[in-house]
Amino acid sequence: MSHVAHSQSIPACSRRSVIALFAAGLGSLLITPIAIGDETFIYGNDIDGRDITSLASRDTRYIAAIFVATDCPISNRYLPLLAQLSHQFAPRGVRLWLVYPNPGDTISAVRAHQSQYPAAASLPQLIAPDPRFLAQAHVHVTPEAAIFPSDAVMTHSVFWHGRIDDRYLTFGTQRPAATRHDLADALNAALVGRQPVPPAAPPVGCAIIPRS
Amino acid sequence: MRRRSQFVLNTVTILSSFAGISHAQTHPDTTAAPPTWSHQIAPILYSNCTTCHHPGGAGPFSLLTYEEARRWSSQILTVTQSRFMPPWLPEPGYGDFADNRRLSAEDLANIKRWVNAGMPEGIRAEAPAPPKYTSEWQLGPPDLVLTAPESFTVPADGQDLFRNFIYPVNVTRTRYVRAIEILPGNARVVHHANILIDRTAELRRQHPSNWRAGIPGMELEIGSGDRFDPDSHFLFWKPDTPAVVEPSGMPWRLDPGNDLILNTHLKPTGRVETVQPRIGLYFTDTPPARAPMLLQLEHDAALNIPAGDSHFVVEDELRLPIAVYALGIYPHAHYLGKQLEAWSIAPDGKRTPLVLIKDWDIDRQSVYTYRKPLLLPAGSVLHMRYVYDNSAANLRNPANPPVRVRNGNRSTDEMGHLWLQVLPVHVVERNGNGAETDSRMLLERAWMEHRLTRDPNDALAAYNVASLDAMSGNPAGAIAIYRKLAASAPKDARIATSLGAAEEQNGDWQSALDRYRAAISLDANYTDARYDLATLELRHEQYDAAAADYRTLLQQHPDDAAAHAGLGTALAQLQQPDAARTEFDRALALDAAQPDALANYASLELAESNPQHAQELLTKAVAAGAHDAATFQQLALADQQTQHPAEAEAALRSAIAADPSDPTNHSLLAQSLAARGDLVGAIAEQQAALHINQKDADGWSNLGVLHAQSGQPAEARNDFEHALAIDPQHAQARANLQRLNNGASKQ
Repeated sequence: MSHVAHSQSIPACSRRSVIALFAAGLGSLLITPIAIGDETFIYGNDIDGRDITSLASRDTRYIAAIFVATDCPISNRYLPLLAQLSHQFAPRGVRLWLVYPNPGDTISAVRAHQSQYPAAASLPQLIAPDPRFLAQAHVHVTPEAAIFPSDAVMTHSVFWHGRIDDRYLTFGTQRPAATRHDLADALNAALVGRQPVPPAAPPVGCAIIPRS
Repeated sequence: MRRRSQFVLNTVTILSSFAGISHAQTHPDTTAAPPTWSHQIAPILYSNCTTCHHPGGAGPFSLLTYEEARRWSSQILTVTQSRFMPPWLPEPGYGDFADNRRLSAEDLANIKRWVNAGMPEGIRAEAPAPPKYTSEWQLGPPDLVLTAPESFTVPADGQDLFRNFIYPVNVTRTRYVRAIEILPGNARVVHHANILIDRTAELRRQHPSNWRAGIPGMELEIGSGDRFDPDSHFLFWKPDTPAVVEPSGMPWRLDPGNDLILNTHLKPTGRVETVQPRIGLYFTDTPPARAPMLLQLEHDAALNIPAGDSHFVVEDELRLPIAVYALGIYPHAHYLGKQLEAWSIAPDGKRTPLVLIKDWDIDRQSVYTYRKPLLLPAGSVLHMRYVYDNSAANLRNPANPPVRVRNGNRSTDEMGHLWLQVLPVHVVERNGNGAETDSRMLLERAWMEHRLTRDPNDALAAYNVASLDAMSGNPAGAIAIYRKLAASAPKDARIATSLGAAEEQNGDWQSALDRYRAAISLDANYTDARYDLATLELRHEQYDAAAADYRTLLQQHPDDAAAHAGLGTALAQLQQPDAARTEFDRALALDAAQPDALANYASLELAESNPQHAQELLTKAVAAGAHDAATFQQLALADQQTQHPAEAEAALRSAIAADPSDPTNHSLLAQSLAARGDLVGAIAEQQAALHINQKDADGWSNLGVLHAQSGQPAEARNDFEHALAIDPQHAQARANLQRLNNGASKQ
């Protein structure tokens, strides 16, 4: 499957006030929100319902947006690994987000879910993402990852996207442990200035449900 | 590669459906209206999917409502077209199985058209009512619920785990289990489970300090106890079949002191989970009418797969000495298994496919039950052919890069087992001496001898052949094998005990005594040795020693019904009838059909002039299957003493049928018939007795009396003279003859 680069035209939206801090515990100060024209783009909401206007904090070099779903078992099984990857790459300037694209994953659903999956609660969460962000990421299932340079999320095409690793090959074909760590490899490549290799196979997971 | 391109195609299909491009627009076939959820899809989901996919079920999401079916439609499409779901591995045409979960071509087509049409709901009111599921027991409240002693914590992440939960079974008497259910406690974690019956609580005894938390391990091997008691039932559980119900007449036995072991496959879910499975047991009072058996084909010794070998074949075959019905089959390999096949070739060359799995997946393993039992004639040869893939191309290969893999019980080892549940066509067979044998012993012998031809050093097979020898009246053969085994395993209490038992059977009871004592010194907790020692002492009238040994055994195993019965017998012999009664009562409370308790308790009651109670006990013994002449003889005695002459005669006739070669029963019957005036019948029975034992002076004398009473003095005179010819000192015959002559001279 090849992807055609989308030419984005972002419709105007009203300017919103910028929330200065993320949820407690994340601790980093936000850098200036990305503005397209003179509009501030709102990616979606955080777990408290506040608008998110930037996915980066001060030292962020790359954004890793991981699209997940509270009711998707494969997505859930990856949460501990995602928390581990976030911990591993944070010192090198990677900010890893859990993005909940499905209409059913409301703030209350995500709250209920994170009380059961502590690994999810340890990561920044983006709920009800703007469909344009989804389109920009080129993702179709959960879990699936998209990497963006921190200063060009909505202005450039996604830097890399695809599966987290090769543990699941299809529904029903599952390795005992992953042999290729696509997301980690892609981040490592990006951080040393190389273009990451596209994953050898599409991600396996639950289809993302379009917002009507 | 092929798999990958298929996946992409599926993804494209899903995307096009989401984009609202209907199937009808790209293909001109618009003749049929697209299927709707309410008419076509809900019935498919309800009969194939929702047993797992309901709230609280084992499936990761529910499919009970239209909204849910719509939410998961793309997955439904992908996994049904690839036949990942519903989980069903056997290829059609290789065995006709009950509960076949393979979706029909029509169902698959309907699902595809429905998704391509944008998942139309149809008219909601026209949908069938959704099935109802309970989070509790499907079969209603069980007769006994066993709960794992401690919960087990499954980590959020990592590889699959295998855990064995141990359940001591607190039954106080033998029970027969007609069904089981398992409530895993956490349906999404417990992938599948097998129940093992640990007759001697062996696993628990091996882990005295930590058994409550369960024991890790994928496969287990445990002993089967002290009698011929082959594994007979598949106690395999998976989420879509929560209740395992045995066919009528085929419950399995559960004795006091047994443990159940739940061997579980657990899958991490992304969060820390705890599981504490419960087992529900449903009992029947009716003992099994049919005894199946599990036969195994394997060639573990040949499982030595080089790294990188993508086509490694392991085969085995077993000739059936008798005709059987195959009831079910359980193919089993680990992660390298690729194609698993089994078939049977009859003596006339006819081939019966038993199962074929082309893409083995341990995660979707199952027991398969034949819709109709398959008749496999005597002389049929069962074949097993498993192909393994130890290359890197096998995605399930636990090793990366591949390494050489041999057989073993860990998930990184490999296995190639085929279990077949069979029911002998004839339950009993006659051996060379005309004695009846449990047919399953013939199957067991064929199986074990086959193992020995392949590997003469197979100690387990040799042990089992020796046990079969002992059970089929060939203790000398058994002794020879046990001695060899004992020589290579001198510290094995089980072998020492079995050798002792064979020596005892062979008449060498002094040597047996030494063997049992040696076994006890090797393992003071080895129940069989202590029991056999006590029973030997009892037989040889060492009642004090027997009582002491039974008591020691009962301190270790207070619920051993046979030991209570033995102690009762010893105490009866030691003239302690009240203490004996207490023990017999305990034995019967534990096992209402304990044969020694029933028989010896009855003897005690007859001796103690309680014929009424003796009669009750003996009636129970007969009902429980004691159809030997001695039991009927005792019953006749009890019937007579309780003034039930007709019942006594019936019992004597049963005794005669059980053992036609014993003249005593004919004589007793003759007396009974005479007592109520049936002299013709009495004479016939007495003659039958004398036909068997012509040298019985008493018998001839009694026949003379009967003839005299029926007015046949010439015959009577003959009989008395016959008695005196055998025994000239026979006072009774002489006196009778005298009386007969006196009577004749008076006329």
